[in-house]
Amino acid sequence: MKNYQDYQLTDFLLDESFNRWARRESSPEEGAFWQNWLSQYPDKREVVEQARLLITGLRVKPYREITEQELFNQVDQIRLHTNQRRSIGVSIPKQFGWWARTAAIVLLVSVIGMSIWVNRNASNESVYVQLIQNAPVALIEKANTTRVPLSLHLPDGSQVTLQPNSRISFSKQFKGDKREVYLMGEAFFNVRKNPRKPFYVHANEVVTKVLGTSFTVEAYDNQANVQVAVRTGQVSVFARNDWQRAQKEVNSDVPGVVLTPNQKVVFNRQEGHFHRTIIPNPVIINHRFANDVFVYDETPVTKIFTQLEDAYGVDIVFDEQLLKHCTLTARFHDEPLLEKLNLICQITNASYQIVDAQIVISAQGC
Amino acid sequence: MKADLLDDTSLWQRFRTGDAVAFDQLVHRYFQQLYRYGVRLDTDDEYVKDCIQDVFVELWQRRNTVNETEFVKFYLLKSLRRRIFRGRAKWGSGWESIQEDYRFEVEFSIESQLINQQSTHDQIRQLEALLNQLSKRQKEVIFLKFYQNLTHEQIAEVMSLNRQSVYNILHEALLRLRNTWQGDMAFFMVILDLFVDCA
Repeated sequence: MKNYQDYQLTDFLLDESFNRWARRESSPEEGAFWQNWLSQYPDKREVVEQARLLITGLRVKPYREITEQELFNQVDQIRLHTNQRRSIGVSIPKQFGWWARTAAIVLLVSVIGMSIWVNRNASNESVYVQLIQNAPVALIEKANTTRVPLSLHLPDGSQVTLQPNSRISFSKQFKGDKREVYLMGEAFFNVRKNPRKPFYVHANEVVTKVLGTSFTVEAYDNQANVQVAVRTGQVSVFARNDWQRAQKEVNSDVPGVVLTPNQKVVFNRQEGHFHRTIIPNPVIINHRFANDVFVYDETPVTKIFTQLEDAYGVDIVFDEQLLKHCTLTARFHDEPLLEKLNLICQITNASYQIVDAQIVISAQGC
Repeated sequence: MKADLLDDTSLWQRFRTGDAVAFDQLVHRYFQQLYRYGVRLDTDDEYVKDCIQDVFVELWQRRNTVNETEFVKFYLLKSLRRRIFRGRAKWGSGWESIQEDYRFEVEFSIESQLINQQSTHDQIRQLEALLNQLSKRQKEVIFLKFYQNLTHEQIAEVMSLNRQSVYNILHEALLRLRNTWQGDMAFFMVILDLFVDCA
């Protein structure tokens, strides 16, 4: 046993058993030991009390806090960062209330290269290099040559997380009526809202336009396709050629694709065409359904489809007349949307197809 | 079961099996705490927020390989401190100099509600002044020990020091405090009676 009777203030403060006792976190045995010890050495009471006062009375003045609002934004961004890697359906606990509290539209645009790789000559300049060479203003470039994501800020306060092997260029001050960045590789953007100065991401042959939101762009030089996928909010996606043409006209009619939540577009770089569809695992975007378990008890299938449309923000096309006698008793929770649809279709003897980002139900009636 | 009632250890266990909801709870539970620690180490609060995000994103990616732990807070504080310094090391200055040349912004006070004698109050104020004059390293150790409630072992790991250095830093800091606590100590007997009564 230690010679506690020789202990000075400093020793008590350093002693972990004593610290636990002072905080009243000791086990009963430890507590009994100290009580007993104190009655044995009453002359130590004074120093013990000094130590106790310091241990329990020490306060740290609040320094800097983040606001509740900011906390939700931050938590939300972590969700966005990790979301693509979540394999199971995500249910959002209601007490978090992100969607309700987060004023900013949260949007995930992810431009993902497909497995087909385009062979390019080493001498061939990448689209990115051509773009920054032809940019009307001087640009600064940031590159991530490390193996970990790199966080940086744009001149307007927007935040970018640049993935390894990626580069981004932008002007020092975002002067003029546009905010334009040029990307090669993958980056996550949290764009500060400014409707008067739209934000453009130029990545390969695709231009993505947003007003203020968070999203990820992935567009590597050597991939054949570019994908843009939206979680919530809205973006416009153009082929760069069309977009450039449209710059010269006011109120022009530009061929492009407007994406709404849970939709994505695949742009084939060689053919130059867009194919719009639904992301593989749509998430619930309507916060009213965030934590809901979908419970159906002899519920008309038409009502279920309407509810799912509402929750996921996707279009479900079906023949109301044909389905009017179909009902369903089931309980859904974490299943991905497409799995829910599979189950509903199995039970009601129907099937579905995704056509131009709409879910089209073919039914025979019940 | 309501997930928000789960303790750290069970949350951690669920998170390790890939439970996204448990992970969200962890993030929500610790973000503010990590921020409060981080901004004391680096004034750039945007940078600190980015670092916290990185800590969590990396944690999620490594969920299959992270160990079981009962001290989630300790684990996160450690990761954040390293992330903040690692980021700075990349900008040019070496790890060694960063370890030496850093800041720790904190102001301590001592709650003394039980004491109503003026002389004692003065003494407490004196003690506070002393605490706030300590070196940044001493302050950080005291912050982690008495405020975050970490053990010496954990403090050593968080601050990348060995256990003996932590002990020495603390010892030196506390020795300075002891010297002001001399003199009239009669009031302590009063408090002590209160303490013994309710203990």
